[in-house]
This record gives sequence, C-alpha cells and structure tokens, in this order.
Amino acid sequence: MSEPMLQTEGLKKYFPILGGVLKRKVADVKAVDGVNLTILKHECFGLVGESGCGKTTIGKTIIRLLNPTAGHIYFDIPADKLKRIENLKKELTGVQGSEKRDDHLDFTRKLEKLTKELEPYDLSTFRGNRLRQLRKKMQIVYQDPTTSLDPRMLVKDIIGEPLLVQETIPKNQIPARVIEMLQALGMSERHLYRYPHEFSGGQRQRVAIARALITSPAFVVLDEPTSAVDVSVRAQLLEQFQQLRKDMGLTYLFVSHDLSVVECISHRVGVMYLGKIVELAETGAIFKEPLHPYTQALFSSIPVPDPTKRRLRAPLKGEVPSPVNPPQGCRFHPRCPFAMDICRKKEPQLLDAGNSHLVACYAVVSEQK
Amino acid sequence: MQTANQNLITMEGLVLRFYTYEGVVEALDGIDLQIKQGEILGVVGETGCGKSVTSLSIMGIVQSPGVIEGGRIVLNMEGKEVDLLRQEENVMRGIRGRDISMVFQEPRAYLNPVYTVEDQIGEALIAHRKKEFIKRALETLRKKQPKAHYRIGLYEMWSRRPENLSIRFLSKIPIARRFQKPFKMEIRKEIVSLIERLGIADPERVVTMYPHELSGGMAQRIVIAISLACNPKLLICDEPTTNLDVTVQAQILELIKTLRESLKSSILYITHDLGVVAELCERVAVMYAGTVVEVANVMDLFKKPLHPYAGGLLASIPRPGSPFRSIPGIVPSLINPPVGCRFHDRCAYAMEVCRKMKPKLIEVEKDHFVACFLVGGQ
Repeated sequence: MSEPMLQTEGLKKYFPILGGVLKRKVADVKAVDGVNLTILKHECFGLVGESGCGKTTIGKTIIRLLNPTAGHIYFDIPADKLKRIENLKKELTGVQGSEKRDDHLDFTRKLEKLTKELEPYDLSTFRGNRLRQLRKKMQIVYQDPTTSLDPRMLVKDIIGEPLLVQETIPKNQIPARVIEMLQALGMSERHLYRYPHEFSGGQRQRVAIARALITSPAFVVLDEPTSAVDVSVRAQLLEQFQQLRKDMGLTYLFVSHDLSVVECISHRVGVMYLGKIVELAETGAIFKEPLHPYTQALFSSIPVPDPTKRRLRAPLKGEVPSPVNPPQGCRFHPRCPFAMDICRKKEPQLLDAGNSHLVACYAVVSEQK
Repeated sequence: MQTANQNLITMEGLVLRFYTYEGVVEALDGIDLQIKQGEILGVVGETGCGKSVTSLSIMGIVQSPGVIEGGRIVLNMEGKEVDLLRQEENVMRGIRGRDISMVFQEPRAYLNPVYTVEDQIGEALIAHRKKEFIKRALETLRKKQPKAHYRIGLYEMWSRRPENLSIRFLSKIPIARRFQKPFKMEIRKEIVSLIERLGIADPERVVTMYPHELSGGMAQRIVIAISLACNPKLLICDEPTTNLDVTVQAQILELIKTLRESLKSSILYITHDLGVVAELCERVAVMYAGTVVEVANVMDLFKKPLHPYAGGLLASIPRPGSPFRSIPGIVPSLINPPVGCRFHDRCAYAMEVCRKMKPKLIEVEKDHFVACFLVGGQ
C-alpha cells in the first residue's frame, strides 16, 4: 500500500492565449501550476475542486495526453531503485546550501547522478514508441460515454481496438479477451454486435471502462465517470470500480466534483483550487475535519440529502477568479474569510499539519514549523 | 390563511405523447399534481422520467412531435379558473412571463449573445408592463420638465393607448424617436433595482454587459431576473443549478429561498439532486417513467418513503461506510412501457396485480400520496 505508483514534481501545464495579427502568445491560462502529488499503489486517489480548477488537466497531463509545460512525472519506479533515489535525495539536502567549494561540487555531481537514475521513469521525457508502450499501463475513462465512444463502431471493435494497436496478444485471441472483459463488467456476448447508441448511459459507460481496462493497465484516470449517469445506476458503477480495483490491482486517480462519491470511493483526497492543491489528506480525516478555509467552504456548500439538517447560507461570496491572472500570494485570499496580510504577499506551501494531513494555508500551519 | 391552502395549479390526468419514427413515446401517462399557493414543490426523478416535459406543458411550449392528448392544467387566477391547455395562443402569450415564468438549465444558451443584459430583461418588462412604465415616465416628466408640453402630450396619448399607430411610426424615425428616452430611463431604473435585489454587485455596469462577459452564476442570476421581472405567480426552475459549481449553487439556492419569502410566489423546482430537494423544497413529487409515484412533504418523504422506487432512490445516495445500494435494472423505454405499474420489472415487491393494473395515486396519510398496490390497500 505504501509504495508510490506515481509522483509528480512541480507539474505545470499552461495553455497559451494567442492574439494579435501574428498570433503571438499574449498570456497563459495557468491550468495546473506547480503540483506535487504522490499516488500510492493500489489506492484510489480522489481529486476534487470546482470547474476550471485544473483537475481534469492534471489527469490528462499525467498520462501524457497533454504535454506538461514544466515538471516531472515519475511512474512505477521499482522498489530497490526507489531506495537508492531516496538516499541520494537525503544526501543532497544535507549538502545543499553549503558554501564550501568541495560541497558544491559534490552537490552538482550527486544531482547529476540523481537525474540519471530518475530519467528512465520520467514520463515527461517519453516520446514516440516509448510513449505508446506506456499507454498499455495507463488508461483513462472519460466523463460522457456518448462522446467518448465512436458511434459508428461496434462494441466488439471499440473494446478490441486497444489490443489491436498495442499488439500484446495475437489477433485471433482478441474476441475471447473482449468477451471476458465484458463479462467482468456484468455484460455478455449478446452485446458484442451492437452500436453505442443502443445502450443505456450506464451500459455505455461500462463499455468505455472495458475499453480502458482491456490492456490490463496498472493506473487508470477516471475523469468524472459517474456524472453523466443517473443516480440509481451510479451506485452500480461505483461498486464495480471498487471490485475491479481489488480484482485487477488497479490504481485510480478519481477526478470528480461530486464530493459524496469521492468520500465513498477514495482512500486519499486532494482538493484543488485554481491550479494548486490546497489540501491533501486521508478521506476520513479530510471529511471529518477539513483544515483549509476553501475545503471547509466547499464541503459545507454541498446540499445534504436530509431535510432535518437544513442550513440556509452560502459560505462563499463571488466566484473563482480567472486562471490567466491568478491572485498574488495565496490564490484563495480574495474570497477567504480569514485572509491575513501575509496571504496577499506570499504563496503558502503545502505543509504537514500532523498525521500526513497536508495543507497550504498560513492560518493552519506556519512556515517556520 | 384561506388563500394559502388553495391550489395555484391543478393538473389532472395529463397525457403527453411524442410521435416519433420509432414509435409513440408515452412521455406522460396521467399526471396528477397540485401546486399550492406560495410553496416550493420539488419534482425529482431520473433522466427521461418526464419532469421537464411536465413543466413545458404548464408553459404551453411543448415542441412539435409532442402532443398533449388529455387532461387539464388549471391555473387559479384570483378565484378565476383558467385551463391552460384550452387557451388561444395570444392569451397564453400574456400568461407566459407574467403569471408563469421559467428558468432553464443552461443560462448561456438561454440568453441571446448579441443583446445586452438591459435589452433582455427590458424585453420582458416591455412585453407585459409597458403601460405602467409609460405612466411612470409621464409622472417624472411632469415633475422634472413641466414646460415640455409637447412631450407630455405625447406621453399622455401613449399611456392611453400603448399601441398607438402614430407613436409606433414616430419610434421608427431616427431623431424623433428620442422621445422614448424618459421611458427607457424608467425601464433601466427598474432593471437596476431588480438585479440589485438578486445580489449582483455593481448593477449599473452589469446592465450594459453582454452574456459572454458574465460568469455562469451571474448569467443564471440574470435569467432569474428576467423571469421575475413581472412578479409571476408561479416560477418554474428546471434544474437551474446543474451546470454550476457547488459554491455558486449554494448562492443560487439561497437566493431562490430569500426571493420566495419576499415575492410570495410558488416555485416548481425540477431537479435530480436529492440534496437540493432536502435543502430547498417543502413538498416533493417523485416521478418515474412518466408517472408520479409519490407526493409528500419533504420530511415525510426522507424519513419514510412509501413507494419502492422512492425508497430505492433515497438508498442509492452514496453514504460513506455503508455499501453501495442501487436499483437493479434500467429505466424502461417509454415507447413500449411496461404494462401495469411501470416500475414492476425493477421492483423487489412486485406482485401479480402490479403486472396487470396501473396503481392510482391515493392519499395514504395526510398529504402523503402514493401510487402503489403495496400501500393504501388498493
């Protein structure tokens, strides 16, 4: 459980805004702006936030559907290597900042060594064939199955296509594997020769899941997989996600704005605001006691399905500012009820507030600690 | 208190079918529903259960393959009963927007991108309250420019007959149409005060903006402003917060609550989110496949749902720590809906009678209506 599956370091994704006659870059939409994230093996990591906060962009950048502007993504580093890298990092922090010339040389040498060790696992450098090989291990399920499935392809072709592209198994074995996959999702051979439009929303989403899982990936990004299906079907899908994770040993990045779903399915949750992670903790801890003011506001604005617990108040005024020009300092300060002077000047770092509950807020953890 | 218990809208046996190439879609199959004066009635159900079509029927704007084939929708206009399904189009046009108005799901699609906020809210005001504003303009004219005899005379003529032909000619002539300025000023004053009440900061600036300059929450507030422009008796909200973020959704819900208290109009709130229902509504109607299966006060429904579908819907809300529960099967196609109770093939308690006969919506307890053979001893 504790081994990391995927780590990002200072991950950034900017989308340029082009303008003028020459279509030069005028500004950037800072969709993801420096995210450090560790996703552990076999866990379901939930990523929540309002629309436009960059949660989908993170998912897409991690599996390299988008090229990161800066930063590193380390994927599936073997345990022995990981130990060596950890040691190197520790040594590095030991000599960092020292004024001695020898130490400085030592630092540079060690840094080079570290980069070399990490390079084969850094997805941000992958290209061409190597990237295609990677696709076997990382997959994505999109929000709306009506648009993510080709309306002119039969279900058997849709699900079998990844195997055809990846050439992992001989062609004549593909149909058997497709049927196996369909059965794992509670569908049957009957559905093979049908088009996507002939299915209900829930079944369509299952076809999309089958397509994602047929190459036996290790890591799957679920990008709001339940927001396009009905309430009564949603529970079925969620249960299937949990079952599949246990059976196939999957790791999920579960992107959603539906907090009640995330609370039920994730082990750990990261809360995003304007391209930054503001809070990250275990699900139980974060829902019981959210520390960041934004998380508190977000959680308390979900309508509770219980008429005896009515609360008439909107916790936040205004709306999310534009990610083109995010506010200086803490990005939340214009809407924050506890904003201090320092929040307007300096950006808070994601720090541990005890029990590996990470928060980026001056009101909760001070820098000196 | 006598008026509070009266029904504003009474729907009886509403039947609506869509004639498509694939067959006849029986979208609504005998809907009985009452909306009381001054209440918030929530309508919940899954996609395709007919909740939106119900609201379109009230407005009388069901689109072409859809035909209303039976039933009555009676609007209570201060004691006078009006059957909305049997009105001429020009009468309906007067009712729409003035007595009944609607807020749709996607505010960006609803607003016209080439008109400013002022134009769009003004359109509703001019359509229904033109005379009132001409009179207001006349009063301010008399007060501020008592010597402008020609203008005052013109306004007096206009206020007597808003559709006066010579005034209509005058408003087409470039320089002469400046006479409308006091009238336009009155309308703008009203618009500013209207959107200020909706919690929009800097309303003077906002009225000159185009829809693309507004954020999602603001656009939805403008749409609400348009529908509230004439103080309607009934406001229909068709999933107004579905495409908005939760923090903005909370703001809009709070706004609807406070508006209801100040306007005293009834609200028909259509949603699929049970959380919103619990937060906002007083009574709830649960719909399934074109039928109303349960109507109850919100407390009763969440505490003790009587219809198996309503119970299943409430149980399928994910709760941490407990296993996921769902209703087996899928929503049936309405082209060939199940005979008898439309829920019977997904129902765990289905009996022989459910496959043959359609249960009626009957009052099981006080103000608690259920359409199921299991309860109420039908």
